[in-house]
Amino acid sequence: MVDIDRSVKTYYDDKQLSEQQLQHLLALQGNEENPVNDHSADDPYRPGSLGLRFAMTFAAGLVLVVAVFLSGNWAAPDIADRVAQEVAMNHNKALRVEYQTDSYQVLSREMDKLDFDLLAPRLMVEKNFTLLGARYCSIQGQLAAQLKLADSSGRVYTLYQTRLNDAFKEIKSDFLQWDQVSIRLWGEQDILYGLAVAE
Amino acid sequence: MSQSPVPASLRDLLNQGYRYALSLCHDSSLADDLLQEGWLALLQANGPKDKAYLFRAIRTRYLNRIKREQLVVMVPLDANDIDEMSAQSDEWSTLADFEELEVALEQLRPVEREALFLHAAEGYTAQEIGQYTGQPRGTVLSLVQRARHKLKSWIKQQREVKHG
Repeated sequence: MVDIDRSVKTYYDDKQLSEQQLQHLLALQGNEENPVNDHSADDPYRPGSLGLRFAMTFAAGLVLVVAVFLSGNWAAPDIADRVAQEVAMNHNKALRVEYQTDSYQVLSREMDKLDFDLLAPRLMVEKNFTLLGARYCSIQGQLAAQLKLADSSGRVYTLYQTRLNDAFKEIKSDFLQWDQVSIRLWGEQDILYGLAVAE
Repeated sequence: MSQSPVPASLRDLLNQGYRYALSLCHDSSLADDLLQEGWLALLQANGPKDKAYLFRAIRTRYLNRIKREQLVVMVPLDANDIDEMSAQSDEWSTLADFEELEVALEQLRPVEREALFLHAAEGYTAQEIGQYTGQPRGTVLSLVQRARHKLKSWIKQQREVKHG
């Protein structure tokens, strides 16, 4: 291996996710234990094997039947839960803003990859929130904006805006909680809004 | 929320995904987003939790984010000019330090950084990188060579400026 390659390898090997980032990504898996494929062992209960899958499917099915029996409801997360989970994770990352401004007009001009104009929703105007800046992010794989705002007491919120697609239109205005973050989701005109603040 | 231990294999996979995303965009925040999106897509598709699948998911999301034309396909060097990547003569005798590389890598185009990362850090051959990225082997060789040359030239230039 040539020296510059070794330097490049050392440089990238040094890059690691923080424990917090790892935990966020792990949380996306929910409670399911689903280890990485290693394609090596012949153990019938090795990760990804038919035997293990059968056992896990059977166990999961049993749990589901009991859960449905007890609650009378299906427990699968709906789109609002998935969005709230993602909003909470983005909020907890506390990433720096890419565009620092207190003007929605400036943001709309700068963040030209968005196919909609960034606006202050009614709620933000009424409560007199101050815009601090914004960055790109994504919600369920769709390009979105994460705006950072502060209320009159200086408490920091993140506001998410993305185009209302067919899936998002199913979301009813709601207050949700995830990972110690309070989230409010609502639609206004053609935009889905999500407001997040630490509990 | 109480923290649960992350299995070593999963930790390795996610860190590999993060490094790969970083090789594409050279921005830690964006790499974090790309990894999250790719990981989410993998989970939702119930795809295999392996490196090839995760890398592909990250790459797709990166390409969706940037304008396609930014990833200009390189004209391959003449095949006679290049043997194997590992057999290249190398006049570079000093390892670059972390800070030098941090800035120098920024000078590369995403396709060059990606090819160099996959070869130097992940150990893939030009053939494998070509299959994965959909480029001819010669193009990959060209990208790796140009990336090395750019890094060396840039670092050499910076050192000359620094030391007069």
